[in-house]
Amino acid sequence: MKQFRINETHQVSPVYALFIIKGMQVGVSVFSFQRIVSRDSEQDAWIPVMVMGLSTLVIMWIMLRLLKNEQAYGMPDLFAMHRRFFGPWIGNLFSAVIIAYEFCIVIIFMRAYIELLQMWVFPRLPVLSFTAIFCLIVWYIVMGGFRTITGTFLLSFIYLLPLFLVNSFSVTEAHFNNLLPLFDHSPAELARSFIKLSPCYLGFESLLFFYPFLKRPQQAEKWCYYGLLTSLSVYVTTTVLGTVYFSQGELQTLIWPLLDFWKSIHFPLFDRFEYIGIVYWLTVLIPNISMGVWIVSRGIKQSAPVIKQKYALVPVLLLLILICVVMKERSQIDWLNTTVSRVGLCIIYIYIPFLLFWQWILKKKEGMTHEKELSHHHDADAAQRLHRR
Amino acid sequence: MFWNKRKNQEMKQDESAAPKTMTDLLLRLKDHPDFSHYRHSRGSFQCWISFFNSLVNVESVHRDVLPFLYDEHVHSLSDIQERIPVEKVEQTTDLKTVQSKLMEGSIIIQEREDSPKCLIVPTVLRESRQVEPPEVETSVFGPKESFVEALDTNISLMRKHIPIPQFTIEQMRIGKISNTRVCIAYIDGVASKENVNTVRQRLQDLELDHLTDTSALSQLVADNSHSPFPQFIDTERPDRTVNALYEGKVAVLVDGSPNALMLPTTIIEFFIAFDDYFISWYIATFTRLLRLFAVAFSVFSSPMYVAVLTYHYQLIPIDLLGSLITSRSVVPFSPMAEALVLELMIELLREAGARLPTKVGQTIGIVGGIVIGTASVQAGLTSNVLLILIGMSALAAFTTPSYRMGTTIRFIRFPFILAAQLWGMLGIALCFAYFVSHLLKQTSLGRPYIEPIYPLRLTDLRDSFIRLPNTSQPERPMLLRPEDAGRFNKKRAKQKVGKQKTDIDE
Repeated sequence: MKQFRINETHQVSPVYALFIIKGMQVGVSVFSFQRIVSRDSEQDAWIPVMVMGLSTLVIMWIMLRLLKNEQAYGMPDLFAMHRRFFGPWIGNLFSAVIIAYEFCIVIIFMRAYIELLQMWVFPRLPVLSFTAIFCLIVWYIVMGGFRTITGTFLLSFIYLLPLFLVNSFSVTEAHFNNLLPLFDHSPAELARSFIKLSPCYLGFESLLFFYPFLKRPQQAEKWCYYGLLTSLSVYVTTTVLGTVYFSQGELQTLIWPLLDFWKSIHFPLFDRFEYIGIVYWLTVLIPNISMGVWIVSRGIKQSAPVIKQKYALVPVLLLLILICVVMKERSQIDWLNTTVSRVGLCIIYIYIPFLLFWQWILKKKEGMTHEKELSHHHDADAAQRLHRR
Repeated sequence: MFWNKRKNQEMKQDESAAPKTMTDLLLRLKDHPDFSHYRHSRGSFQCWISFFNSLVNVESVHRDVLPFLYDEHVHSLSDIQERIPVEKVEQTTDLKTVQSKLMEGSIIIQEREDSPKCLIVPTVLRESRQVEPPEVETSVFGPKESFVEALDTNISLMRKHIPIPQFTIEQMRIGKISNTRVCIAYIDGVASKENVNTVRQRLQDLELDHLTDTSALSQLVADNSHSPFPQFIDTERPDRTVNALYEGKVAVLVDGSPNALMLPTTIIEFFIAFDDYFISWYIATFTRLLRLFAVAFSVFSSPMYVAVLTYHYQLIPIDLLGSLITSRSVVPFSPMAEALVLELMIELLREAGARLPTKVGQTIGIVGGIVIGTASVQAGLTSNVLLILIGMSALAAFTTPSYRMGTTIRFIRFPFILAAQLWGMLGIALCFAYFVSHLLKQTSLGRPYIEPIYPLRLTDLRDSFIRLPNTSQPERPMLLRPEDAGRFNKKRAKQKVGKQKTDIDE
């Protein structure tokens, strides 16, 4: 009999759902998203940001429903669900697609950060050696198991708290008039922003993979919502900050507006705060990549139980290094970025609700067969009784 | 396997070397100059007496044992046992017991020389150093006692602080040859059973021939003995040990070692001085935060210097640039070489100071600090700024109350300096990430090593980087999973403080 429950020594308290979800959502995209989001909707950019953030709450409700129902049947995670819903073959095929999607997210993250480093700090940073050393650290963390990964999420949350205080430097130079006129854009423009924005909020679907590792999942639910609200607040404040600090024309010329904002901050002991900010962002990247790699290697283990996770981990990391080294063209990265964000949008808005629907159908079907069996038994009993008489 | 076979044979030979009969044993011991073995034939009873002069308390033997052999009514070993005014006298025929008791300082009395039946009279010589003020963990406030090498004295020092029968001491022997006495001390009903069992299990599983000190033991029973971070605190202060026992920890003492081991420990406890509990909580919190800053400064100052001067010159504000340039312009080396040379110099000074006798050590400090430091700047080998940074960081590293942790902190800055030379601040961040993930994975007796931070436990945070007043800490640390979680009754404490005043002058 396969064991459906994760040993309690590997589980984490419900509170950590907040840190993980917030950590998975806020990534390297924070730097550039002010530009992307305001291209179509300009000063009203905060509207799509808000709407998407609120819509993630609905998706979270669906996911929690799905996982909670699944608890009765086996391991409540996506890979086990696929197997139960669609049988081993088709289910594993779906799992493979999901694994590939998660892996692409890891690659995009890694590439985006390397790009940032090469543009801003070290123009000739050797990609191979950097990714190799980075992956060594990731390997070290993932070998420590889920608890260690959660620890890195918590620490990155703590590290980032002072970084968000830095935003207050903008208040003295803010032009709040930039936010006016309100609601000046058509729904189509807002929708375009909405779609472009999606990579920022993606990441919370990782709950589908780590849900079995939460102690007392009932209590964890509220922390999941709080996690989403935290990143919602982060994104809304950053959007507003970008709008009030820069003019719309300037914002479109800046590739990473947040870095340009940090550049204007001066401390008595050091200048050029954005250098520290970029390097600091490594603490955000590490938990993110570790989690992604953990999901991928765990997916391989769940789909093909012959392979142990620790053995699956090494080729995954090697492949990550290889792809990061090979992918040099900006156009390739862009293509991967748009494709993955579209797939991500489909997954959260179409596939996850569909899974809940499918689960409901299966339950109905099961109930019917169960009833049929019961009635059949009943008939047989009656017949037997008759016979005896 | 053939090598196993050989090993087994060796083991067998080992056993065959042990004496098989009483005569065998005595024959072997006879040649030792401090071994007395003679026939007592005066009086009504004749017997053979043997003991080590160097191990027994000779005075007590002459006063409490030998005179009773002349008694007219003594005719057998049992008669002696009844009359001798010494406790725990036993009769045995077991050769192993006889041998070990003899080596510990007991007298053996036999009726005939070859008879295996012996009377063992314990007359152990207890000689130890006086209890003196602590030398390594000095403190301004609080008790001024420290442990000594004798285990029994150490236990008595602790028992005086914990006058309850629940204070349990378990004794076991470790070391195939040395048979060192090792004691596990804990308060029954407070310490978690699980922790006690783990400690006992780890001690029993040890395979070694001899054991000298608790610090050696702490490496042997550590969760990860390849980590630069110490996992258990060893302290020479009985008051600190007792405080840990009251919290629900387990202490381990080794005979012949003036230190006690406290298990389990979190990293934060290495930065807590025991003085902190004797001063007002504002000041204690202030000093603790100061130490935290000192650690960060000590680890990051010289790597940041290397990183900024090598790669990130943009970070330096214009006002600071002038003075940096003037101090750096004459130095011919790269920042990393400069930093490494100075760091090494400080390490040499530290090592020389630790090895030399105290009086010479002070001179070394003056020579090192003033002569080498200023001279190297004047000679143009290092810059003034770096000299200040390194001097401060050396000072900062030694604000850590635990010397063991202080050396770890001094050690880990070398990888940081190398990483800073490699990729500047990015290298420092990578190195930092590595050490943090190492600490995240670390456990001490199976408990998380950086506990109040991860797993985040707010109740334990009250006595970590900060120290809140005693009244706001009614619970024992959650880390230890104590059997009795409460230190005192919170409600009653609140009642006794009384209501807040309703108004001024009322």
